[in-house]
Amino acid sequence: MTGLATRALVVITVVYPVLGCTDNPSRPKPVTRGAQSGGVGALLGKGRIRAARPASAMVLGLVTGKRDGQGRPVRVACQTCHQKIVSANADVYRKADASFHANIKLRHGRKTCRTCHRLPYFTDFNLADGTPVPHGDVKILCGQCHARRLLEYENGAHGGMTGYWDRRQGERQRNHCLDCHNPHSPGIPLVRPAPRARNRRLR
Amino acid sequence: MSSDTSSSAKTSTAPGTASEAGLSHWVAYVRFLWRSVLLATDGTLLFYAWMTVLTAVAFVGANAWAQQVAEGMALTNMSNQVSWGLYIANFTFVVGVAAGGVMMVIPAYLYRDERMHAVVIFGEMLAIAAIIMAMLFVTVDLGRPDRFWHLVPGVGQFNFPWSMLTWDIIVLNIYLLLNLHIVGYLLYMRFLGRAPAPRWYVPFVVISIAWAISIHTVTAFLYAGLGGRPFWNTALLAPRFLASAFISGPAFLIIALTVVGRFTTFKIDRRPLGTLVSILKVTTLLNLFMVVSEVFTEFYSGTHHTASARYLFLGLDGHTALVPWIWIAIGLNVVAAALFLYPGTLKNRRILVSACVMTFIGCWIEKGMGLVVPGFIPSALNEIVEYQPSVIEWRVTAGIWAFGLIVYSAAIKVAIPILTGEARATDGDNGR
Amino acid sequence: MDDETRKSLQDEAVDDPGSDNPGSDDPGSDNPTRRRMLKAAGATAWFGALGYSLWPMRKYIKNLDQDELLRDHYKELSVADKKRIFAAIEKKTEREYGAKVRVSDPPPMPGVKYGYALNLTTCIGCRKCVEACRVENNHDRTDMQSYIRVFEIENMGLDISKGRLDYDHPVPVKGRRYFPVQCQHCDNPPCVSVCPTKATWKEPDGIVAIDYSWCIGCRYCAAACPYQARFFNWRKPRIPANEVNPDQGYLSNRVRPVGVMEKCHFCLHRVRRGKFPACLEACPAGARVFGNLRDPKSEIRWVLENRRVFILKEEQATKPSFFYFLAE
Repeated sequence: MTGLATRALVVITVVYPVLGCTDNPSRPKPVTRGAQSGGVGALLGKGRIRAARPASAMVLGLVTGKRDGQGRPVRVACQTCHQKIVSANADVYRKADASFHANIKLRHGRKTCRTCHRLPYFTDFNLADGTPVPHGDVKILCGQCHARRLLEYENGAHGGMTGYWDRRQGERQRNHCLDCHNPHSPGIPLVRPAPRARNRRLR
Repeated sequence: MSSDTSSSAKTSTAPGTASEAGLSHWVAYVRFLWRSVLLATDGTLLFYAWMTVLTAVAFVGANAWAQQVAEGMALTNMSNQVSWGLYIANFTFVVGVAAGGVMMVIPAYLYRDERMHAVVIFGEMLAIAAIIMAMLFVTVDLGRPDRFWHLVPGVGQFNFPWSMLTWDIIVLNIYLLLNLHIVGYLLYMRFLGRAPAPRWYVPFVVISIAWAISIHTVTAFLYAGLGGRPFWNTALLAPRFLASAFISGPAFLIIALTVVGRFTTFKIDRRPLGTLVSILKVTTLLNLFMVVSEVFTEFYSGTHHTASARYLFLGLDGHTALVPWIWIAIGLNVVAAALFLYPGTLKNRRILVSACVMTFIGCWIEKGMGLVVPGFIPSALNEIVEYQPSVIEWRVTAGIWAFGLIVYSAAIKVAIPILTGEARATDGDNGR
Repeated sequence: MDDETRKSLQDEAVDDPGSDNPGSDDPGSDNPTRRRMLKAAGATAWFGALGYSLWPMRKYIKNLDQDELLRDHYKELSVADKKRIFAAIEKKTEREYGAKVRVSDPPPMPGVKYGYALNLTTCIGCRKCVEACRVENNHDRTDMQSYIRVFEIENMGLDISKGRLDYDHPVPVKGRRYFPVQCQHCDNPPCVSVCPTKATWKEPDGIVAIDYSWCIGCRYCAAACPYQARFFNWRKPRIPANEVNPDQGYLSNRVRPVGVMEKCHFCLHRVRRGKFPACLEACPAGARVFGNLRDPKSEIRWVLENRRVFILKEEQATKPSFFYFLAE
């Protein structure tokens, strides 16, 4: 549970500001309840995951680890630095990483920031061939390598969802890639399993 | 009982004591039943003591069952994995006893062995008592005994012919009626001092022989038809059930007849006993042979499906709860089989009875705990949950056995004076 | 019989002090009135003892109301019957559990047959489905009952027979796979054929349902099921009032009576209103795919047509509506 919560926190506070996400355009767009205001509404409650549209990177930002007087985490908008730092050479990145990007551990194959992040602001993306990817279409970005997953996702065979199987009767909320996977470290984090069904005679 | 009265009523056209006295069989049969009740409740101090002890045990069982009903089956040690336990184990076994009880009939009627006739009635009465026990064992195993009426054809929903349990209900009830009719008719005729008319009992006797085989076959099919339980899913199950039925029935009869001979004036010939022992000679060996066949098939192939057999005989992953049970059973059966083969056994009543007791207990374990429980271990999804009966289960089981013995003792108590001619229809019974 | 034996048998009989004349059929052999009175007293004591021994059952009998005792099979109930029975169940649940609930019975939708597929590549074994099932379906909280079990197996092969159910370490463990099993809603269900009272049957939309008011609790279905998917109510379910799910279906998640079978029903009260089953919604890995097998455009059909799908215990010929697949 703590693992999941941490992951959700990372996704909500770190990933969303940096990356964008929308729903699969080929299917009717789900309406997210209670999450209209932004990523803050993406709650992980009662075992359910509701898809949320990411907040603008302007509103949220990198968690600094500090808290303000009311106990809320202090965030720094990405633009604060990335408007100025146009090119991210290794040295600058490393220095910045030590102070600001402590939460971002890049464990995603042999990738660098620039594999996905687009200059100048790092809030938009580019495909491997340099084609810009709009903020919301990040799953195309993932799909460059994970084409089969994307295919499964688009056909409803991958990714959690809630709501109605019968779309004539109601809406359906679908998770996005980043609801479950941290793009910087997409390996599934360990979670403590819920208690199992006990046998009446086996305690 | 309706079949008895109706069939006997039809005989009233024939000249007989009752009709001569202008008394219909309806009245005479009721008087016969009342007389039977009096006979069954009257006896020596020893008889009263015996019945009191049995009644006390039966009430302890009834009390345990009442608790189980009130609190739920949680008082038993059964689980979602081992969903049948001691009750169904006993059910399976006593159905065998019921079938075996009628084994006396085959030499008596098919081979016209006149001397067997006197003891046939004891076998039929054993069948009655055992069927009643079987029904009680099923009842106490039900989670909702208050919904028993759902099983009544016409009133409830009877899933016939798909469910083997409905077949079992049908064959057991008909078997009970058959035996009630045969015993009731033969005793009634003896009571009236008339020779029984063959057409009113011989056809039923022949049917009951086939039926005895059918009840245990159907009971075996209850298990053998379940593809998800490889331990039971074997064609050898019905023959094995029959073999052990034809051990437990005759073995119990030998014990019962010995006790009867000891405590009453009714003495049995050695000849029928010899026939019973000859049956036992064959069936104990046949039963062991089939156990060996099963064991070989299971252990030599060694597939996944043999996990239950491994659990039963050797234990599985350190779980060995049933291992002592089955080896005790096999030990008892082997010793008993050897004793039956030894010619001196028939001459020495003590050895004969101990051999019978041994093989009876051996079959009880083998066809009960050794057959029903390992079918569930490991479960269909390979979980190992062990099972040992709880105190409540033991009490209920003891209670039902006590009740079965009460029924059998009372039946013998009624039958003996009628068979020896001590109890006869008097003038009062024949109408005034 | 040779004379010797007969003699010895008779000797035995004579030697025994207990065996006087058992054939004495005359009840008044010594003192008729005394005897009769003793017998009457004995009979009274007998009935007294019987009553005393069955006394613990009064609690059970008191809890039985006539309506419940004589309630008809689900398929025989009229609309008015259902209305009355549902109201009675709602009242009883409030009385016994202190929770206000609504019992309903959504009918099967025409042209719908449910199918369920589970992606074994993505399942992480977190047992969120197990928990969601417990919450949704009013399971006993003391036994932590649930319709779903999750096996932890080695990655090599898909053999659940060596799987473990009792893992409690953080998941997913590298090199292991997680294999949830629940009712497979077979098209050829052995549990349905063996039921002696037709208390369980296959609904038109493929759900294998149980009438909790009709089951007699013989547990034959539990013996017949090759998936260990049937569970017995060994005692009355214990659920705190605030945890009782008030949205209840007559054939699905209403609080079960003691002594009857229960099993996964694909969240009948949800799916027949178009919603996903609770276990699917709870799955954080998105390993579960649910839908209408008769709809060629449904997700479940895409899985069946485009992925390597297998069923559990195919050799049992049960034809499950539950499928497993591995992502490619």
